[in-house]
Amino acid sequence: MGLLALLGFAVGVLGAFFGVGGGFLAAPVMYVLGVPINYVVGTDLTHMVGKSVVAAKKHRSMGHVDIKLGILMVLATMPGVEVGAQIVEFLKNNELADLVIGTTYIVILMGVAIFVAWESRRALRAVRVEKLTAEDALAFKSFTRRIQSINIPPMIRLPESGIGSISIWAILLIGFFTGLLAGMLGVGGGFIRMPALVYFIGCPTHVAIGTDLFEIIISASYGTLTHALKGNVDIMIALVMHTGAAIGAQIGATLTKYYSGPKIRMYFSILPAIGALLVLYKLISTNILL
Amino acid sequence: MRKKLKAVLGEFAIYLGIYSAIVTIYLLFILNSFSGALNTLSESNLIIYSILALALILVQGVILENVTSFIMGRVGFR
Repeated sequence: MGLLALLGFAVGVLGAFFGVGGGFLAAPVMYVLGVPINYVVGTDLTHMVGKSVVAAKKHRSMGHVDIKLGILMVLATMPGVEVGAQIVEFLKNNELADLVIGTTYIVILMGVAIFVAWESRRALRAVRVEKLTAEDALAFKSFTRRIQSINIPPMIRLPESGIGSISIWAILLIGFFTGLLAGMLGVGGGFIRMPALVYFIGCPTHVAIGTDLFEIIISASYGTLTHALKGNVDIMIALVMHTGAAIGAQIGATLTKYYSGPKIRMYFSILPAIGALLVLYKLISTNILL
Repeated sequence: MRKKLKAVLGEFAIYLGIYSAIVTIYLLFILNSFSGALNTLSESNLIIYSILALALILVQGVILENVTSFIMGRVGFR
């Protein structure tokens, strides 16, 4: 029980600091700690709901949640997840699922990790050399501006994210794409969504974190209900994990106040790399790769 | 500046202490009082079990934080 609460605490700190669900870490460790495999995903999602509520509330009190953007992203993410799941079913029928999904997972997450690490270092250098404020420092701004200049109505203003005008279609397309990847790779999507909110939509890092956590509340609640209806949720384990996670989420969310956007992005880049290495290890140890 | 930071950190530590105590008490209360009933429910009625699972987590996530803020307010913190 203590170990599960401790795991919850670690995932709580990381999740609230980086705006991710933390399933990449929680799920394998839960399995190692003896949680039956059929309970791992559902129970992890259940504790994620509570943790994301705590963290999103804290971020909201600091002005870091864009609810309008979060709702639009969720609306597009859900169908994306369904299409991703259908692709997985198709691959399973052709006995290619493990290899294709595993390889895609590694390539995408390593790509995200390398890109975010590169960009955040450049942004930090810009803060130092060009005396930019940390909020303004984004080394990939030209691409973001191009997306914001797509003029397909209806257009929307996102004052909480500091965005004057952006096409709703751009947001829906990005939401759908991140959902598709999440559904295909079997992850919550925080790994992909948080950077997508920063680099594609143009959200400040802190708002991206809070908004992503807000999205996780909705998507993980949906996941909890569907898994619980199939008998795949152990609420006692979820409550134990959430006890640690709730405390960790308070700390993680509060810590973001003391770090600039580029610094958070730089630390964030380690997470997808760890996720990719875990999958690489699994593929090699089960002889699917090499 | 340092004095202000110290005060903020002190207040946060007190908040965290109260919050940790409340979430732990809540967990122990549910474990001792309802674990049997929830186990039975998970085998007999999955619909109610699903709704209850979500509700128990949301209570732990939302209400306990409000309770902590209320207590903090009562003892004179913002």
